[in-house]
Amino acid sequence: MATGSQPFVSPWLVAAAGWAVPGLGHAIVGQKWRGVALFAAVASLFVGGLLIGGVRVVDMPGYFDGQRQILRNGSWTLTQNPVGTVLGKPWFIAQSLTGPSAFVAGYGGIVAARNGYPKPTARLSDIGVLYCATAGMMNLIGILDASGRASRQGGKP
Amino acid sequence: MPLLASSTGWVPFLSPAPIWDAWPILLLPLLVGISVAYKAMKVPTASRLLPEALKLTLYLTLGLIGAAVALTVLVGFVL
Repeated sequence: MATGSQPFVSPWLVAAAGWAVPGLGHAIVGQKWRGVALFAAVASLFVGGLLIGGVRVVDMPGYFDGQRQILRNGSWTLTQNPVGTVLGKPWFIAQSLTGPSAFVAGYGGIVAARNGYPKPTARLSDIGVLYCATAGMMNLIGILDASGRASRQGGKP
Repeated sequence: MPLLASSTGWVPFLSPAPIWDAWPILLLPLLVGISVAYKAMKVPTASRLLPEALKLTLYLTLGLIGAAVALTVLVGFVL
């Protein structure tokens, strides 16, 4: 599909839009059907992961047992050592690439944990985590693709 | 959904789905999702998306079955 008639949009803006809403980056560069297909696939994988394992498969870094903030010397580890804390839960890095929905789900997981909903058993937890992380990784590919298309329309990356 | 929830205790999005024995089936939707997302960026026209995604799903499924058979043979007969 020709994209030459599209006005130039910054690849960074396209990437940000693609992260905020999967597929929106493609829609901005004039590839609406690609955007719709990507959104359907990424959203299905992410929602599927939440349905399989429950919202607690999105495990926010910096929380002990998914509900209480981990404190060290009186301050929250996520503000004290953000890189180390996030690296402690590497799956969340991939899941967060799905966009703000991952953070909403992560917050939902904290609320669910505080209300006594247990973490799923090992296998279902693994599958749910895998679905959500795969959604994020596929969205990353989508972000890079949309950003590349934007830069080929005449701008610089 | 409410009937399923009342009969199994499943609360969608809060508790794990009651599919403990059927988990290998969950591989298929995962592969479909990966295939559609990948092919959405590769195929030239929208009409080619579904056939190409189904083809990729088939290849991935066969590849995983082949890997499972190879590993079963390796673990059961070679090692």
